[in-house]
Amino acid sequence: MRDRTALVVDDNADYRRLLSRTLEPAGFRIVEASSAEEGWVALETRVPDVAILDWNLPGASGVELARRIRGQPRYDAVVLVMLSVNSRPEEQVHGLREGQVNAYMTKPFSPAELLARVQTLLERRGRKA
Amino acid sequence: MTARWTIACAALWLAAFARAGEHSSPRFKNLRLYSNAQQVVSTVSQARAPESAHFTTSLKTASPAQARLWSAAGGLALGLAAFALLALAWRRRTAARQSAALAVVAHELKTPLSAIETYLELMVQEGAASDAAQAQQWLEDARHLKSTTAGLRQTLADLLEAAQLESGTLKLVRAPIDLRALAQDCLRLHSARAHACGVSLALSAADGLPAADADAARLRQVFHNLLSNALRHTPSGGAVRVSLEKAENGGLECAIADTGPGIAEEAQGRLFKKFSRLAAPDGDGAGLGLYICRAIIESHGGRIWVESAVGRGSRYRFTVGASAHA
Repeated sequence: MRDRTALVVDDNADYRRLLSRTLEPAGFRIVEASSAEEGWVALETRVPDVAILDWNLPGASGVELARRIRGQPRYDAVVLVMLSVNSRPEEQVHGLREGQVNAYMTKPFSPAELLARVQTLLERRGRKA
Repeated sequence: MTARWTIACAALWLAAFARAGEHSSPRFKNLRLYSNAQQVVSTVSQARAPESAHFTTSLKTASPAQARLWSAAGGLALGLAAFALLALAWRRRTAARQSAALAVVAHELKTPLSAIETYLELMVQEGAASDAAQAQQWLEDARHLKSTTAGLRQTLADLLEAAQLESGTLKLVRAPIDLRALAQDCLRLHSARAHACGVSLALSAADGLPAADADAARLRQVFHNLLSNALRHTPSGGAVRVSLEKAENGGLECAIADTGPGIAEEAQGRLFKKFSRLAAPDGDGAGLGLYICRAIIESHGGRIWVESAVGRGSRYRFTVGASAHA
């Protein structure tokens, strides 16, 4: 699991830190962004293995960013996880469908569960490649 | 419920009005409303029969005097119906606005609360395999928990204050205030943060300033809010300048200028509105700070505004009246 990169896009500094605290010990290199626009710039600089996106961002939303990422074949291999306080079932369905993300998780999250999901999704991607 | 009942009654009256018109004056005979009204009556009467059936039958035998009475009542009914429709539309609009505000508030409270919960979850999870190195991480987490909780408490305080300002329950205790001393005191409280951010902080005041007629605690709140915003938006190496002058109307004018990124003209209009997130780009607060500042300044009879351009910093200015008892 070494040398994997995770892009964390969240406007809340606490969540950026919490995600770093969850993923860094598992060997991920963290790139942080506080808006969809910043996240897009970070993606262009380096393609991450996984991108964890908040839904409610200032400016473009996390769903819009996910859609934009999925629109570029260059980022096909990026595992997308939506992490949001929007917890209603219909919101989760909307996030999964519109953003074409691999997983949808709600806040507050269990760090152990998030790490397990990310690792499983990356292993599955590895087997397909 | 009341509005729906009023509309149902109005429709019944309207039908009565149209039917009576049939017997009283030829000009009512072409009344197009008649057939529609009759349909409404038949719908209502299905639920209210047999009283309404008797009521509508009795109208057929109405005398011209009675018919005129019905006509007048019909006019009143039309007015009532229009009023009920307007009331219903207004209520729906207000409810929609309240729902939108509630959604913002709920989101503002859910985000920090869920962060606190996740911190605790992480601490519990790591607690099972704790070692000395983990203690340092926990200390760090505890600091973040403390600041997140403080932010949440501030959001709740802002919400309460906005509600008090709107309901008029917030009372001002006005007295002659030395604005220069008050501003100096506020700057002193922010100097440590300014130093840590690498931002210079300075105050300049014109000579012979009159005392302000204001509530010192509220004015202090305005200063703190504007200074916090200015420091948050000013990059390291920048400057925040506070200046006090006499206003043209004999009162006082205060300006807090920063060398931050500035605000686009189209965004300036919504800056002082409730839940404007422009002032809180990193998810801090509910976007009520500037709204509260405006409410406080306006309740003093003053004015607050911003002068800004992208890349050229921002200058917040406000006025307060001078005290007659200085």
